[in-house]
Amino acid sequence: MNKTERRINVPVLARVEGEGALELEIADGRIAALRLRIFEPPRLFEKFLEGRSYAELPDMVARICGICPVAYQMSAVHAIESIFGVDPGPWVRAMRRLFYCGEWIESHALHIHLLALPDFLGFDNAPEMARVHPVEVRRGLHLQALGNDIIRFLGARSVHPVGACVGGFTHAPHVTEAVVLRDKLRAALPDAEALVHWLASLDMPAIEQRFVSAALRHPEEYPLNDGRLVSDDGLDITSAEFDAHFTEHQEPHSTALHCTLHGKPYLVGPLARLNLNHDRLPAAVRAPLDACGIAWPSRNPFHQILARAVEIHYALWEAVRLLDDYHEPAASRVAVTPRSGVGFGCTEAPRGLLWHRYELDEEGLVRNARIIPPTSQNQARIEQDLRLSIEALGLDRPDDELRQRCETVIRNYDPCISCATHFLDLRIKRR
Amino acid sequence: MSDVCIIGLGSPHGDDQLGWELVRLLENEGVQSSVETPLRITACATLGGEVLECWKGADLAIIVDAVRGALPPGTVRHIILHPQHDLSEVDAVRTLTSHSIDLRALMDLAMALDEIPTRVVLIGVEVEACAPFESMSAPACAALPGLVRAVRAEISAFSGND
Repeated sequence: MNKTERRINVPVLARVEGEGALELEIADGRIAALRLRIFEPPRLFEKFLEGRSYAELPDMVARICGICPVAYQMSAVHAIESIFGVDPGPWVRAMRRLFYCGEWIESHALHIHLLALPDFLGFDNAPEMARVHPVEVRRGLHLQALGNDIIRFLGARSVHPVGACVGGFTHAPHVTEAVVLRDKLRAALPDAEALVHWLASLDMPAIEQRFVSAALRHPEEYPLNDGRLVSDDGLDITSAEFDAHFTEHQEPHSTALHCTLHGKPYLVGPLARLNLNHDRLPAAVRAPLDACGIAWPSRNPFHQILARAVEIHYALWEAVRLLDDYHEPAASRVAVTPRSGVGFGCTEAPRGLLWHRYELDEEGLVRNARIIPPTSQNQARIEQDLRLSIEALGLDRPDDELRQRCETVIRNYDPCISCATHFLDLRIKRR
Repeated sequence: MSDVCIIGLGSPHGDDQLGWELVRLLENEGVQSSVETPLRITACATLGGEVLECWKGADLAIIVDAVRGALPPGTVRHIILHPQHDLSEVDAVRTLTSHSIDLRALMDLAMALDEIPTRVVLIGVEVEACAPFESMSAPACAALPGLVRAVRAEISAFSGND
């Protein structure tokens, strides 16, 4: 039995967004404490929104995050439209899916190639990996650029896009732009399929963990903008029923709220979506994935990186399908009439469920806003995964090895600390 | 003739708008028609793949961003990133971008992929805090004319050496 005290610090975790730290205390060969501390100051965005007009919300909430602005816009417009009783129609619905496809491709490609993949291939960082795998990294950057192209198509710019509004979009792109974009995306479909094959062939840690997956589920489609909120332990609710099942609470070691499902940790994001929606993938995407020989649903958290690649393939395929049907509408938005009420919006951000609740007055001004981002929802699951992963690795392993495994586990979730507080300093204490 | 690429990095928040504001100013001035060099101007938010895509084929890349270093707010910094880059200078300033790799990693990645212009410079303006939804501070606004002159001077000097 190890009676000595060991402290391991990861003072700043690289390759994640935002600032936080991990504290690990090992006593008598067991984990005495494990705290994922998020100390980025809360940004209090919800308070900024109070008193602002519904019309300002899509552009304001887009600024919460530089990597998933579309997600924030989508959850907001759905919530507001539910209050106003507006259905923007099939053209807007299709373009919102397209917009979201761009964000998934851009965010997932960035995370795979510049942030997470060096961990799995044994490199300290992306530049080192790029010297050995230049073709694959170039391919990844090209995919990322295509995602940005989609966002620019509808949002005028790839970061903090401005095209989305309550009722639809501020403009409809010309059909010739759609054809050019569609052809670029179609040409990249083999790249996305090759990425899935490459990641499925990597020697991932073969671990199995019990965890609950939660995601949207739609009767026909792989979920992006809508669907019922389901889990693999029987949850099946509307976004308005979120509060009856999910609970946010403050942990003293973190400035971000932790969210639990029926009091327990749960997983959101690409792996949760794929676990719950594998049967919603079109044959063109599902067949090459199934040929890789991995059973779904997967209980290996390290399959999150593979799930991201599958979703890049899906999002490209879906974007091509949507652009094949593209036409310029008579109007790119429907008129709305403000009215008071409470509305909910829940969509699938790249990192998982993004839930919004707004209370508006009769003029459409925000009385109250609540936003629960995916990283808050995954935070308890990350801590659960960390415990299981380092216990499986062996607590008597050298500090550097424990630190590396902890960082790999955390990055695997692609946490966005800025969104959650809106990350990592690892301190391991042994006694 | 050399190709020049200007990349304004930024966000809509406070002084972090500097890079985007410079892009807007240069476009309003019609800078493309006022220099003989083929010129591309792009607004970006992160250091990463999008920047590498932007400077493909360029001989000179100028990155403009708000930076935090040790000098007073409003001070214009000119740092050569490639060739003969001074890494101590790079590490002494922090560009205000998120969800991205840092400046040193960007340069390392570009060199690893052999996708780097002949010359890359960072022209930055020292700023203080950038709060959400705030407008640019007085020192940052006052630095804009000097920033435009610094960018134009870099283009002229590089074109003169063509």
